[in-house]
Amino acid sequence: MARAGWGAVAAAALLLPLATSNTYYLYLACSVGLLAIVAAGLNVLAGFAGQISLGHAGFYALGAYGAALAATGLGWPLWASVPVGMVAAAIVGAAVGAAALRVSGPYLAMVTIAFGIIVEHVLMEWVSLTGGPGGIFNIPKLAVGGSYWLIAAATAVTLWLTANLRASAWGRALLAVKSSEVAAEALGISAYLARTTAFTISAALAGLAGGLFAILNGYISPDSFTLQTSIVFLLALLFGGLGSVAGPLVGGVALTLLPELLTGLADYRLILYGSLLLISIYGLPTGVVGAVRSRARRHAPHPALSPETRGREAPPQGKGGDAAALLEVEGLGVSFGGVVALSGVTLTVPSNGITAVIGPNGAGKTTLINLITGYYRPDAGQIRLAGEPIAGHPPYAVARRGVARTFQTAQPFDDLSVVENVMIGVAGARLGHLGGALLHGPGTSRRERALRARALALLDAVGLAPRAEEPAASLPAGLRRGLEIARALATEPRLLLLDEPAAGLSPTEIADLAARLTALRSRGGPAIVLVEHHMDLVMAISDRISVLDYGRVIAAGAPAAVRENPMVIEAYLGVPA
Amino acid sequence: MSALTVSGLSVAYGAATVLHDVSLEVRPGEIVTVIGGNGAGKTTLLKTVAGVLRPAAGRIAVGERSIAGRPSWEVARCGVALVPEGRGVFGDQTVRDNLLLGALARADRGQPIGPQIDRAVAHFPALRERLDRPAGALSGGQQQMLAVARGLMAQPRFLLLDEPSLGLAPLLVREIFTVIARLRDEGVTVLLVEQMAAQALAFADRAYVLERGRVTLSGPAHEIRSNPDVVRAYLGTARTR
Amino acid sequence: MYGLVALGYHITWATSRTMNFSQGHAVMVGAVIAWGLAVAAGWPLPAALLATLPALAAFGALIERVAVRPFFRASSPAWLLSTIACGIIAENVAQLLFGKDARAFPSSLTQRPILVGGAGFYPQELLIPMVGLGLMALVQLFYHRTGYGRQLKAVAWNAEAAGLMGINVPRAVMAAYALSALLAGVAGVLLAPLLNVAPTMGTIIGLKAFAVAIIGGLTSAPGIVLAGLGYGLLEAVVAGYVSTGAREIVGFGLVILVLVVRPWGLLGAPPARRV
Repeated sequence: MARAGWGAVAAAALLLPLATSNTYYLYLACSVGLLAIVAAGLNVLAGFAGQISLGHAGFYALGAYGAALAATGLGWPLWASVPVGMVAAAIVGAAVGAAALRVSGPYLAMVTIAFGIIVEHVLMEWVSLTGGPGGIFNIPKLAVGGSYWLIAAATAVTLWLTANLRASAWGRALLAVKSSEVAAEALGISAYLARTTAFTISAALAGLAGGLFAILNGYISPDSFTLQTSIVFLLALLFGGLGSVAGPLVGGVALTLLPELLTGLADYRLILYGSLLLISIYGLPTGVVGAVRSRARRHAPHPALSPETRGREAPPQGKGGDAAALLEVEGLGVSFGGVVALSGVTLTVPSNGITAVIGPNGAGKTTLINLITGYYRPDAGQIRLAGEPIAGHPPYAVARRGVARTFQTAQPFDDLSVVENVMIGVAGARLGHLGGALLHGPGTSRRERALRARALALLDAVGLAPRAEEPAASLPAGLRRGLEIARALATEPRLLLLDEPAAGLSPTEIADLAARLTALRSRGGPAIVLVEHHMDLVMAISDRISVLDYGRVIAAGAPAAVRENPMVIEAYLGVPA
Repeated sequence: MSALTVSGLSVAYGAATVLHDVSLEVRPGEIVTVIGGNGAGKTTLLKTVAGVLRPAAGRIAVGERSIAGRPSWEVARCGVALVPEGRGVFGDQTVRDNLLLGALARADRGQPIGPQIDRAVAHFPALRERLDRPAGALSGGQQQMLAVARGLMAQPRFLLLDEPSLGLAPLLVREIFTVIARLRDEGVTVLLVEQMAAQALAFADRAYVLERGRVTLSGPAHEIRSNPDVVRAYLGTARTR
Repeated sequence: MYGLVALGYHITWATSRTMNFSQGHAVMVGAVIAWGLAVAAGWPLPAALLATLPALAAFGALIERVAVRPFFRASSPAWLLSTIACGIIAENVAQLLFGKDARAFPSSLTQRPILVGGAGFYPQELLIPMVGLGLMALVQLFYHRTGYGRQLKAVAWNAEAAGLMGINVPRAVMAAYALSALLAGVAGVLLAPLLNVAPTMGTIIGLKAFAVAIIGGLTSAPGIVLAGLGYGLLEAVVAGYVSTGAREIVGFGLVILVLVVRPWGLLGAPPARRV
């Protein structure tokens, strides 16, 4: 059905200049295209990566002024000056993104607002370069007809690029970061890099549109690049459909035509925009496209496991089965706000086997995992993975060295399907070439199939294969844990850290978990560190146990010995009922 | 004194029905426990009774007075106090301020608050030493105690506890349950939802078993405890701690 | 001046982790209403002031009800956009009722300047920081000492648990919004004699107050007031020595700098990270 829709759009676009020679209509169509391009760029940032920007008028301006200056000042021809604008916008976008994305969420939105305003005022003040409030004119331009084809082509290419991006490993990585930054980092994805890339792409697209705007009009001035412009951009995207490929186009059409149809109500323009914005947020959270889609949704049948993937056992996990120490923690200490969380913690984990860390609540077990996986920095001590220090490295770097973890509250990527969740784990940091993702080169399709096959095999091993295409958000709690474990194992880690995996499971589910962990061990799988409260589970399957209390290790050794240790009994086990 | 009755309760999250036609009763002065595996709907049940969630159908009443569908702040003032899963203490305020906040819902607001704090804290000596510390600085077990004490400040007729043992070491779990039993002896009626079926059944008077949103068994706690299906599914092979 | 309006941002943030982006427009509404009452209808100034305040509280409550309440539980920053939307609607409405031109607001406190060390200040200009500091002190007191302030803090920390305590959460958030609009209204009435009253005055004031709130720290009321004073001074200096256009550039450049280096502001507290 989607194909038919796109076909109709393409046909309409091709037929329009033939159906009418009224240049005004063609001009409107060009405006639609420009708005759609900017909105598509915003879609990459907001729809895929989940960051809102209210300053894209600034990048639009950079694109426009860049192209205008190249054309009038340097006398470059059209096909050279527009890219100048685009590159200028992209470079500034990368800079702003790199600086601002170290924080995110509402703070980023605030930075973009400030950025947009600064650009607007610079345009007005720097008269010698930008012509000040008067702007730049006499920009060589094409006839409207020529502009139309150029802009239509640019719009088509832009939408095609965004569609490719969505379906690629890069697109999934962006959505993962949007969904749960913490979990994405644990799989080796650098959230910072992903977001900055999205920001740069969106800035570049806004710049492209700006350059085309300049050559369409032949004249630009700061009036066109205000905060209100940025708001309209975002509104177009929201109204059309955030996160969908067609949304920007729908929004572009709506927001270009609406002011035209209602010229009589020019005085009410702001009320109109404001109301439209409110309506979009209230009633159309996924935009017009989303609303249309949910009406037409049919329950897609679960794809039967194809013969190649069914029955294929997940290949042996991990490397090496010798008992040499894989992880060494020495004298680790950290405090938070004056409270000592860990002190003098020493622990050795062999490269195969199950090591448990137990202790009363507040003893520091999750803190230990967070230190090892890079979410916190230790104040003292060392952490070595296969002899190399990793203390204080960021989480995605630690993950890339073969360390995987699960979280106390499971964090699947809700916006993605079950199989896509695992595919992200399989790909890890290896997202492939960005250009390849955008252009959907031949290698990309092959990679996608391989990723998907491997992901399905892993899901099969935990019994989740029948639900592969369902959105991860629809899984009940026990299965979310299973998905998280499958996803962690997908990265083929050398070390797997499990944070209270048995919490909230029924005893049958716990038995399943125990079986799966011991199976991993016997197959030479990753070293497992198990942080747990369930004494039965711990006693049954651990090779070694370390006991933490108030941030220190009070006992360590074989399960039987630990169970009898009087200090442990006193601190933790209490008197048996 | 009247009982807390739930009849025919159905609750949905979006399109999925989480509770189907659940009925139970908590009579004054008893400890009733609802046990069940993960995803059975236990937390949903308590949250709906407390007014955090709205039911799709069914009745919830304290005595004759219906409270179904009322928002949580109104339910709190009807004498139903929920100690939520994960404790929900206000980390940026002191222990004392947390307790004071708990007292907002109480019926006799004219009375001085000091002796009430003493009474609530009497069960939890660890809190008495930390009255002026920020709640966020307490350990998990202490926060759980604070949450229970705070619930008591409302002088509730019914105290609802959502998995108070979650994430606590076994020694602390015994302590909490002992306190709960003591509260029952002092006249507080308790509805307790738990994963640790063995412990809960040891202390409760009556029990309901919730499976996938439906009540599958109910009766006196000792009967439920020796029911072979329950033993297999929920008590596992654990030795009682 | 900006500090006062920025306090409003602080209050709504501290209660509901949301910000009212139509705060600036609230200032405008305050000024417009005061003008309407005092100048057009000829009411005496104190009466006009007293009447403006409840009107503004209502405005704030309305914004909360329409723009923020539905998104309170959602984690997306939809409230950001919806409050902006309300702001621009308010601007348009004011434009229709009031006309597009700026009007002057005469006041006895702007007639004769007082000379202080060679520079002339209108009494009105001195009044504003005094009121600002006074209100800030009141707000701090309110939050940390009174029961109601504690309730608002609880709502900010964990709204669900706050509800369980018997706190009417939606009403608390609405109260916060009403309060912040009130502060904005006071600012509007105080500013009206100094600037000219116009429907477009809201946007830029809102943005600058927002800059002040960020720089001072959304979670710290004293920080905001200090930042407000500082920003005002900075503006005057830059406008005097460089140019008025540069004023905005420097000011917002500072915002970006703060957001990048220390996003919780100069005196704010960094959020705890929970994994």
